[in-house]
Amino acid sequence: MQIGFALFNALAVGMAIFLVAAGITLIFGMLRILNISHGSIFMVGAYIAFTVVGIEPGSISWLLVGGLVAGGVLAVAGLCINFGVFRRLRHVDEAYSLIATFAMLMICNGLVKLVWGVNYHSISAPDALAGAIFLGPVLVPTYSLFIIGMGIATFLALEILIHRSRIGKVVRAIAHDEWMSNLAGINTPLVYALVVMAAFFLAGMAGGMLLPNQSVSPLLFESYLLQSFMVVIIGGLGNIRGAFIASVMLGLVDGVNFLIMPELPGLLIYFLLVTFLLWRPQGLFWQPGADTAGHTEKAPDPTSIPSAMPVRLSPQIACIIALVAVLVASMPIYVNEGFLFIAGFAMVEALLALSWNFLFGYVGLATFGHAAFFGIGAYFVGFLLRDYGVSFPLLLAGATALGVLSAMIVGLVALRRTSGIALGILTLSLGEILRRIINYSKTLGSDDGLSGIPRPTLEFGLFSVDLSSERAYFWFLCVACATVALLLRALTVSRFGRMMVSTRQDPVRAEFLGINVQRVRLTAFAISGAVAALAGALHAPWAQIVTPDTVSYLHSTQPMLNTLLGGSGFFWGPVVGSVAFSTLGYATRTLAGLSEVISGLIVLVVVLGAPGGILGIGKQLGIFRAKRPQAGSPDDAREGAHP
Amino acid sequence: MIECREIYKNYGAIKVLKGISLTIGKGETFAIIGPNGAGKTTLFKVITGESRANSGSIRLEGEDITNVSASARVTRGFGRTFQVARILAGNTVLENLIIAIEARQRNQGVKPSWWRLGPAPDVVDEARVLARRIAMADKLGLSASFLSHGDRKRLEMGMTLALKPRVLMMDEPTAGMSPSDRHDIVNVIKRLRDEEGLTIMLTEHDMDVVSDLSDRVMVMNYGETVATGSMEEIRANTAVREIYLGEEADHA
Amino acid sequence: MLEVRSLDAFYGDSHVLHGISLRVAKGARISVLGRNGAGKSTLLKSVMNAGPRARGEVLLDGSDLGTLPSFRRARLGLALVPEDRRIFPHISVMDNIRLVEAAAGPQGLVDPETILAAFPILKPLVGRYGSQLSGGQQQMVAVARGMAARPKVLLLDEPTEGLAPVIVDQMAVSLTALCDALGTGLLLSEQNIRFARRCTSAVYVIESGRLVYQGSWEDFDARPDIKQRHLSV
Repeated sequence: MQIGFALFNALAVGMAIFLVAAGITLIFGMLRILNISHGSIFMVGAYIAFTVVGIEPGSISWLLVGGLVAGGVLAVAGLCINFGVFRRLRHVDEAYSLIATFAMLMICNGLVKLVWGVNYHSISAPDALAGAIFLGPVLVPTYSLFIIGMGIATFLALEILIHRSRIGKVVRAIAHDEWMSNLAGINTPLVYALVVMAAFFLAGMAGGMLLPNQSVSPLLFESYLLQSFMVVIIGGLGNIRGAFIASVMLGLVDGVNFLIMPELPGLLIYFLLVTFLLWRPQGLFWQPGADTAGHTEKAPDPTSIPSAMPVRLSPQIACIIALVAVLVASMPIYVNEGFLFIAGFAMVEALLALSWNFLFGYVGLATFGHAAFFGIGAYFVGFLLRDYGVSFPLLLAGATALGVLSAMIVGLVALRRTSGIALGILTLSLGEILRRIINYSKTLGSDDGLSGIPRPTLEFGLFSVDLSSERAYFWFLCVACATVALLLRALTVSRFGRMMVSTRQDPVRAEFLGINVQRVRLTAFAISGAVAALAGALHAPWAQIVTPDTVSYLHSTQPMLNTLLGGSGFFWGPVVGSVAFSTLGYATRTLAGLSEVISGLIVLVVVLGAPGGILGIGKQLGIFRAKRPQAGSPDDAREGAHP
Repeated sequence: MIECREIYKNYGAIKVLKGISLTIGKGETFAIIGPNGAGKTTLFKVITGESRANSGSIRLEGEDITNVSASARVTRGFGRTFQVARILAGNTVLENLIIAIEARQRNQGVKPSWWRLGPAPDVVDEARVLARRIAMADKLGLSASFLSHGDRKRLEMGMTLALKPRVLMMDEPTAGMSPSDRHDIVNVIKRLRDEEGLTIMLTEHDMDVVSDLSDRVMVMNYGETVATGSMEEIRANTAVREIYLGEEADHA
Repeated sequence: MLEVRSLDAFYGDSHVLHGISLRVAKGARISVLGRNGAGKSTLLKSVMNAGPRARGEVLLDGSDLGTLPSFRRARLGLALVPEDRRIFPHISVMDNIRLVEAAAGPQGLVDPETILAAFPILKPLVGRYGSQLSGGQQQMVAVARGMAARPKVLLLDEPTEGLAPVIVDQMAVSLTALCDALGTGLLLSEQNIRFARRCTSAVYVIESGRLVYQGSWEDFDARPDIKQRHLSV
């Protein structure tokens, strides 16, 4: 009986995931855009439906009305988003479309907080669905049956539409070859718009149907976000049958997880995903020309490649840098404690972002789990510093080594099998596994994290430097971050740096220069992991607390946002982005929701309008282009290296 | 120099290469011709290491390199150019050449200096000399993304020469070029062949280029060798005229 | 019928076509000859607004097509059969042909009988998936698909490339038969002079994006220098 109950429960969970994942699958299958914001769109749908039906929806049909209204509103929103955002993202690098949809996620989440507030609401199921019935010997909640029914109905509708109808043939033809479909007289922009509207409508419907399934709060977006990605990945990137089967699998695995280790919720799913990605990174049902187009490797935009040549500083620039350095270093004198705290964080975040862009900008690998390396460093230092008082320089070295080691392990496994989105999701899953393990570990403080981490004293035999004051540690942070950043910069303009940019631009060409591309990637991965871990290690004594949030995927997105805002095509772009983001965060800190909306909007505008980021805009305006005699050459700034 | 034995290659159920064997002598220029889809490019890729044959063996100067990766084949002396030139579009012409020279140095085990930022002066000098050789000395600071098709091919040739290869593999070296560019590139190849004694293997559609350059020609069709021999022998071969040269042979 | 007036076309920064002007009268069949990279494909794609950035006029039945997207041009009666064929691998041969229904006018698609009569080689293949066809068969399907929507002018890009001579002969027969039956004009880009001569009545020659010759096949044959200079390989 217990098993039967669990089985139905698991199926209900799976179908709920499918209801949300169906829309992501549709959009991905058609537009090749992994819409990270879909969970938030779903949340908006739930809130709209909640506004319509209230706390106690009277009947099933009332719940349906709520879903339909939410679906309708979102379909219109989808139409606008298709023309405003998606249409512009179809021909850009995957990483940019991920960031743009992440910006949409921030905007949606912020809007929800602004419009509906931050309270939790529990919606009860309508009376007809509140009970339970016996199916044979098994007692099943009617609401579970309702969700399972809705899931199956949605699947059948999509299955018939996509695989059995004329419209489906047209849709799949466009997904396979948009250009030829146009030549066949098909109005492809219209079909794209309709598909996006359908996907958004489904999200709204799901929002309404699943209202009684969980409480409605601004955190709702998270409950389905990662699971529905997994469904899309396991199912085979855009295949609706695959998504359905993967949803059922996920529900069942989650059920098993609940039975055998209830204290570690969701862990098995991630293990499943990691194993799956390594075994079959293209997904269950992926076949070229099935529901989706083949994977075509797009060459990166030449202007997005950071320079691997040293630039001679003009006296003006050198003066500006010196001025900024003095301003930052003297901060403890003229700013208040709160601001100083933020400034210290910004430096650490900048280092983390630099390490991320070392991989993305120079080698072309986008990881979604960089916070894991950061967290490893932070927990390592926090734990040993607080409980064992190990010498701080030793800890920094240890954290760096640990970063290299973990990145090597991850890289050896991940880089062999995956790239692009699969690599992103794989690293994200590994990060989430780590977070769940930390959450579970009593030694590491579970949910509350490690608090009361002391600031260390540096012992140098003859003399010692006391870093326990905020001021002292801030100065130490300045020196440490600047040193590491400059070392990293030196590496990017070395022979290895030039090998990195060549593998990013054209791995085949690099291979035929005799460069072992895999080894370059792995080395870059290890260095990046080391710097990220070191950033975490520096972070722990500054914050004096390390929580599982440091490891979460949300923190992993921060270096990406910082990098793309500042400009991924520039070594210093991530630093500029971190400063901009921190300033923004500080300026809007008192406005719940509004800060997310504003940051989201800015990121969206930058990604859509100026993919080169802030520094890219600066370069276009010619602000820091050195004037040189070779007037005709469009890229003369780079010639600066050669006298 | 290069010896292939009984190369078979399938893509799924489709048999692309059905037991190709060939031998290219040192300093020889060897051309592969045949209709589209005959398997020329696949054979090329199998020899360069981009794709692995299902069976058969490849030897370079007696050493079995069948299971050696493409990059390791480059360190053993292969250089390769592509039908659509593969260059680093985000870098300048000079940087492209520098990267190629540094890659060679690395393959030879030359260690970079620990303290220098940027490329060593001798590398930059060598790149400049190389740029003059490929007649691009006036475009050093130009981003490669702004180069014309012909210039891209020229730059790719320069990068490949920077590796100082012993065997040069060229896939359609004159494809899509204007007649004057075509003339230039043929002269560059001739000079390499005559002055440096390079072994060259190429695929080509332009029969004038083929007969101008090659010592021996192999004709492929449906994954099989139809004929191998000098250009005169090939022209006289009736099977070849039927499947490939057709009208051209009449008017030549 | 189809008229192109001083057309310039660009890919990125490279200027591919320079002031091309040509006419395809109603039901007329015209060849465009030229070497690889001369700009033949770019010309056909520009007429269709399917890729290159074009400047100049493209008129169909006297009205300028302006900036109309390619699906609208397809609906107005232009059909491009691209050189790489682009058969959809996941649907059957028949479905591939039916896919152009969106481009067909009020008369609807050409009925399958007519098409199969012109391309007898396709008869046993109608149920096969696109991915199960050989290169020659794919080319037949691509041409059949192009004709199915009764276009006023068919833009056919190097249909014989890589095909066995036997198939080329069949193609010439099928193509001319179907064009005659439906009164379709043809703008054929080719390198295979023999095939082009069999299918068309007049010749344009382009070299490096410029029109260097136009005339009938008789004139063309009387001028061996043209062939020598611009086409010989």
